[in-house]
Amino acid sequence: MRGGALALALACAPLAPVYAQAQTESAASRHAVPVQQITSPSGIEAWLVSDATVPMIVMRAYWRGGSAIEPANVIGVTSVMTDMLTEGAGAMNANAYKERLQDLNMSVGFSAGWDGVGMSLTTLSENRDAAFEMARLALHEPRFDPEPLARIKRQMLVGLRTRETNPSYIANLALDQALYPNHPYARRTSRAGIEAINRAALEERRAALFNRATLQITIVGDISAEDAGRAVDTIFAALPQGARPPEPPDATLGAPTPLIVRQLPQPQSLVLFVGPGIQDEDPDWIPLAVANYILGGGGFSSRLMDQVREQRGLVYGIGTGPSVREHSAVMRGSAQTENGDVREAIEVTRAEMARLYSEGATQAEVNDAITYLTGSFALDLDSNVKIANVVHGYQAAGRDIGYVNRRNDLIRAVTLADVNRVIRRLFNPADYTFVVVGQPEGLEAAAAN
Amino acid sequence: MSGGVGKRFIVACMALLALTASAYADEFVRPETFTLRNGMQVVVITDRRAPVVTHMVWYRVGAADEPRGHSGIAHFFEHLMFKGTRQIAPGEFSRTIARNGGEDNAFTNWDYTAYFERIARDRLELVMRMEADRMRNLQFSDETFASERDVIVEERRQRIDNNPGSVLGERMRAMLWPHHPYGTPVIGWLHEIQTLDRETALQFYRTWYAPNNAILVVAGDVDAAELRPLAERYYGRLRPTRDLPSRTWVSDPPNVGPIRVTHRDEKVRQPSFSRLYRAISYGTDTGRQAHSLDVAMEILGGSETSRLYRALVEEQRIAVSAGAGGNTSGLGGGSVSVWATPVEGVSLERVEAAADAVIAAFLRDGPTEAELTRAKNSLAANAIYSRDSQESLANIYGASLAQGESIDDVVNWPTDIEAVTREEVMTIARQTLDLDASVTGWLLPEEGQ
Repeated sequence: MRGGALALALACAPLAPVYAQAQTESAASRHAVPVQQITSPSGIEAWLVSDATVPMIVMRAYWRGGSAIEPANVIGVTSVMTDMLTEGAGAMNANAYKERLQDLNMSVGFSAGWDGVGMSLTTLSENRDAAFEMARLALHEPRFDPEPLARIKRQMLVGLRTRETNPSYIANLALDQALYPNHPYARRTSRAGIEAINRAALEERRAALFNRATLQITIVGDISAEDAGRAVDTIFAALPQGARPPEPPDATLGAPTPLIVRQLPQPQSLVLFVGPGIQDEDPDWIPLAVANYILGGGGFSSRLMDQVREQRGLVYGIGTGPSVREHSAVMRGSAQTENGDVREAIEVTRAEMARLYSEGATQAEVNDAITYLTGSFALDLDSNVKIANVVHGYQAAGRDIGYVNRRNDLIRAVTLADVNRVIRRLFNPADYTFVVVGQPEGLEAAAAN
Repeated sequence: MSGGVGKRFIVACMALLALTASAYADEFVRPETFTLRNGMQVVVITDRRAPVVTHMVWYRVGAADEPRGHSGIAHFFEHLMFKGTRQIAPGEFSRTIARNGGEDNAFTNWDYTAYFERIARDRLELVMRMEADRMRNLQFSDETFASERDVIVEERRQRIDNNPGSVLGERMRAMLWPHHPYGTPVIGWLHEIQTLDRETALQFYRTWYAPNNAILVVAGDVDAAELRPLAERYYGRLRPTRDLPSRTWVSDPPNVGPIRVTHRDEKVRQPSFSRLYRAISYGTDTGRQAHSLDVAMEILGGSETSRLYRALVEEQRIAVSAGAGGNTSGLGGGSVSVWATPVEGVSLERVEAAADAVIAAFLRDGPTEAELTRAKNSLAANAIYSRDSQESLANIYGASLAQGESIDDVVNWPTDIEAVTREEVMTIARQTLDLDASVTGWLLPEEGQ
């Protein structure tokens, strides 16, 4: 199918002048984001990217402590609490609050993750003071009215039913339970837990999580440093200093298990595979970005996409990537394929991983990965919303304020030896657990549950 | 870095509101535009915040233009466009983009097929050269064709066949448009995908892929003065297709009464109700009919403050979700939809009757002034925020032009929405929400489950 190296070189000859750029850096790879640290009048620190091109402001906030530390009898309470913050606040009931958001053409929402809770606000600069007041109300004066609480619980109960046949839910639960059976990360909501969530439980979580001890704020858009500081105080100054919430234990990855199969009546199976990973503080984190691009992170340029999709037509997509929670770190891959092809897709995936593991990557692959990763970073920084996502993501992950502008230098410094070290450390197919959800054919009987 | 999902996605035209929305009573961003001598229209939207560009070529051809019996060929061809030319080996298109730090993809709809690259501004010439090359010089082998057909079958399973709700939606569209090509799924019927052949694909390509049937949209760090010489050099040399076929499609017979369809699947855990009505679109309306219909559907079911959500979810507490929306972007017509999912223990009969009562009251009494104002604001809000993203702006202009609108139509969209009157809303709502022009779908578990 694909021509050999010689044919390729000939075919490409007419484009040689442009191809000569291929291994050089684009102008965009040196693009910098002007992030500054500001301190509000009351002493709260925040990161600001001030740019008046579009008359809008994006704000993100993050607090440490999420679903993994919620009380075991009310699993799900953290996300119910964060949802309820915008279901009525101050003098406004849920409807009045939502109508006010629409009248201001703004959005504000809170959400819960395993390890933290976050706030996201978007407003036109002309309405900013009213918008910040809406966020303040949600954070400090939520009503937690019985009607919206009952509605959210009804919605969650339906969610319990629909997840029973959701392949992604089934696969992820199977993996979490196989790999960290006794850790909070393997917990899921239940009918009894949902029914036990009440106003007191919401108030308890709100008081436990929202304080100044771990608060991190990023603001991007049409606002000056001085006004941004005032905005921070409007929304957050009344929070108590508080203390860091407790942390769950580290989730130690169990040994890889034999193939896990979960039956689900559908023509195509979902395949997930998980192996050991590393935290983003690890010195190998940046080399891992390069190694993962080569294995399965690089879209059409990855080895798995080439072997499983392009060469054999077995899947529409296949990919891999590191998946990090505060207390667990794994490498994770996914693919979907016809039930009759599952066996072959898994075999090809394992074989390609084994080849990379035993032979290592090539210098050309490393060069291509570095050129892509450094050149494409600016594509994630071409709008206020994207800048807020990237910069706040680094902030919440504990990076320093200069990291966003140093990140490409770190990637440029990665060597072939670094990449091959990471491959030996993390890409051994024998360390991976595979789970299949569907009606796969031809897998060993012993693997079926 | 999350696990990759495959490339080449279909944009359902549901994205209408996001795609044609624009600025709050102000005019929308006006791009620069010019036309090459071979008939190719060029649109340039300058945003210099980051040194990157979004380069798109939109072809005025889509699934609705497929020869009968060859459903899926437009989308199939979108995949084949990545398979090389005399100058680019199979798979090298995307690899070259990636090696230059860029991203590329494509999508197909009933009305259009679009290809895009996002890349550093100093690589714009490279992508223009490659994109122009594949407009006229594509070549691929029989093996490539066969392997890609397998990929597309997997794509169909992933998008449609694995998901009972998608299967029902496909059946409902086929009944809503019994003769018009909008009743055929963009990805194609499985039995026809499996028999598509290389010659049909090439014939489709030679007919439709031509500069006089294409629109070039470039957004980002470039202006028309910079772009024009490149556009002339690469696209301006391409030979137009003489006698482009007209895009007139067969129309449906008159409606004879309500149609109902029930779809059962053992994976369904939660029954749900949905209904489609035939409607006008921006491509077929006169005056502000489509604008007025968008406003009507926003009031009826566009948010959590809408009539349907308030009545069914909040007041009667018989549904966990309820809403309505317009799909009004089509070149050859549109549809609107209404849906609801009951709470545990409530029948579909009951939520459907409740939804019908809400619709009847709306058609009888019309919206309040506050509802009308809020709905217009909400529609306009999406537009304001789309100015933050060069990708969004490129998509809005590309889709609108490919679907028969002019630059002025897009620029004036916010002021046209603002001008919509209560009477216009009532007239179009009464004309559209007619059971005789509808298909109602029930999604249910297997009997006895």
